[in-house]
Amino acid sequence: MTKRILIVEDQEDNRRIMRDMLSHAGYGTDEVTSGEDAIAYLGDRKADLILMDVQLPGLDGYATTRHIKSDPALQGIPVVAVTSFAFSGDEIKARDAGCDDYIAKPYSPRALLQMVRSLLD
Amino acid sequence: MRLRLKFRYALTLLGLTLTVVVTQSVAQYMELRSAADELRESTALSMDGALLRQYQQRAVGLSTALSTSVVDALYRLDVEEIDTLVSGLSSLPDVDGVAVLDGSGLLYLEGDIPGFTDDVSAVAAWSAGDSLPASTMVEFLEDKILTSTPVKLSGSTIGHVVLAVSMMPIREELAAVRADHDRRVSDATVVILATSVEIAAVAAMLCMVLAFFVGGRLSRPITSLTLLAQRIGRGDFRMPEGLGGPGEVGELASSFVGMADNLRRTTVSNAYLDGILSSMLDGLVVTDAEGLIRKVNAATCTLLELEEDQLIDRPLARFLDVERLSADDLEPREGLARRQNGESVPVLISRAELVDGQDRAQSRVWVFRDITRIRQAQDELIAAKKDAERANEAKSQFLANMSHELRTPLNAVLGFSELVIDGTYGDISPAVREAMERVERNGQHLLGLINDVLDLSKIEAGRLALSLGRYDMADVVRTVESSLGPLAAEKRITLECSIPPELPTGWGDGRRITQALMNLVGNAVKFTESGTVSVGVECDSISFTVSVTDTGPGIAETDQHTIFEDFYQVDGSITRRQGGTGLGLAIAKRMIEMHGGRLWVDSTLGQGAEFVFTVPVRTERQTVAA
Repeated sequence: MTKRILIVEDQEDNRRIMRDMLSHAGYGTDEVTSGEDAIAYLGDRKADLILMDVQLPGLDGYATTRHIKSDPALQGIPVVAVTSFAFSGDEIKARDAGCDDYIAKPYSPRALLQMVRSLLD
Repeated sequence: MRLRLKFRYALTLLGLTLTVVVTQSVAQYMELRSAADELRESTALSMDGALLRQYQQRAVGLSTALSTSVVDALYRLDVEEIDTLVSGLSSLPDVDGVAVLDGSGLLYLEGDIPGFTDDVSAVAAWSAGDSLPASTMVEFLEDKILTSTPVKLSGSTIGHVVLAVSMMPIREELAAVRADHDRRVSDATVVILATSVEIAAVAAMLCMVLAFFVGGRLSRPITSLTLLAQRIGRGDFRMPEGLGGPGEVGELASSFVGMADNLRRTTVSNAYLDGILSSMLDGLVVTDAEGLIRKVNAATCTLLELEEDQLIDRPLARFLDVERLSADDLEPREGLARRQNGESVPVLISRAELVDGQDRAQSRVWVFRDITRIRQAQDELIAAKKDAERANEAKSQFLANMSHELRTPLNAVLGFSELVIDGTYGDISPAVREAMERVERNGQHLLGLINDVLDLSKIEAGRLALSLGRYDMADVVRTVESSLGPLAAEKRITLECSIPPELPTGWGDGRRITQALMNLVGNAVKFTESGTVSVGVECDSISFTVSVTDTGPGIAETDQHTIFEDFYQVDGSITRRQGGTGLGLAIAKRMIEMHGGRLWVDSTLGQGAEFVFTVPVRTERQTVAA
């Protein structure tokens, strides 16, 4: 059964890279462009993994992750934080928010794919 | 009365000489006197003796003559003849009394001298008896000679002749001789005294001359020193040549010259002082114990726009804001100088106590400087500094923002390049692959540049915070080795890393330390054309020491400081050829220093370089780099 990955990203180019990469690797993808949409999406559909951009308009990636992780029905879904740039402390912030892993832009798609695989397999 | 030294010398010498002369004269006189007295006494004695002997002989002669001539008459008891004989004898001027005694007593006596009868009785007494002397007996009395001569007839004594010869004429003669002698002696004394006085007078004259001469000689150097002292007193420190010489006075003169020289060097004349004061750009005021102005210089008048006589004797507090200076606060303070027209001038005031001999503060000297321009300049500087800080802040912010904005599209460039290369969009020809790899490589380079600029701008803005946590130095080295190994291999350079076993776990920002080491090793690989780049780690309980040694071109000593400056590369062309921003070393240095460590280079041009850094095993707290 195809694993579904929810991409939370407001920038079209980045969504496209993730989508192409993951589709090519055999994953199913769904995309939302905000934290609010992500929470709404998860209200009626399931995802096996979430790629969470942290810089989002409105509810940011950390707040959204915190929301998901506080929901018993959703907290088992692995969340990978995608930070805008490698600021010191980003990793700690990501972990504090409940993210399972994190990767900084600009990332290598290869590295991200490896991370996704290790979390799902 | 104060006498000149010369006269005092002369008088002292004179006194001494006179004392000697007078003492000598007195001694001579005394000696002469005693010699004269002795002579007189001995003369008198010898004269006395001679006269007495003469009179004695006369008395004995007369007495003997009478005793011879009277024998017959006495035998016959012819009174008349006795009387004639006695009268004849007693008529002699010096015969006071004549007595002829028979065996039984007085027969005849003549003469009226008092006591003669008693004398005769006494003679009669000692003439009687067996002890009656056979020859003339002589007895000296006070003023006469008594003789008693036995009158003998055929060997038997039939009577005595007693004769009293007066000694008054002798006495008178002696007295006359003595008087004459005394007169002669006193005449001689007068002569001696007169001679002594003359000698003394001549000696005194000579003394005077000598004393003035010697006194003059003695006092001349002192007099000239006195004149010099007076000159020094007037502030004239020029010393004539040739002072000094042997002896105490010479030493004194030498000391004097030395003293004058010292004084000349340390003493300033009023004119000298006024020259200095009037040349001062700062205002100078001297106040007395009451705070009244005693002296001002030209700059004070200029600054206060007043004449000197409008300031002298006025309280300084009227012109200068001096209240804020407390009694023992001598630090320069800012204050205000008040002009007559109500204007205030900002001044910097300093003050010093002028202390007299008893260490008592008598007056004060105030120096004040117009700091209007300094204030303006200061204000301008502060404003300029604020502007610069704002600009710098804006620059840092701009760089941070720009870096972020630049990286967003770069993420897409790099991401899509990789996807294309990985065949995500289908198989690609080798030519397309190579082109895409160039896109990716340049994209990575651009990313490196942007990251460096971003890091530095964050450091400069003070926004770079270390994220302290556990890290493994061995991991740090291995990460760098695996990142740069491919580049080294491509350049056919050996990259060797030696990591000692059982390194302690570090506490710090492992990512930043990795970044620093990455920069160092990256540079080494970049600049080394052939040979080896080796990374070594040492550790004690306090710090890690990491060294990066290469066989590259080395760095000249003059460049060894500047290579750690921002945007600096020894050879600008290398930047273009090798890539890189020139920020790597600056960033590495700051990262290390933020950990409380040090980064330095040891290199000789042409013989490679060794970059070494130390970081504490445990970074206690973040040290913010400037």
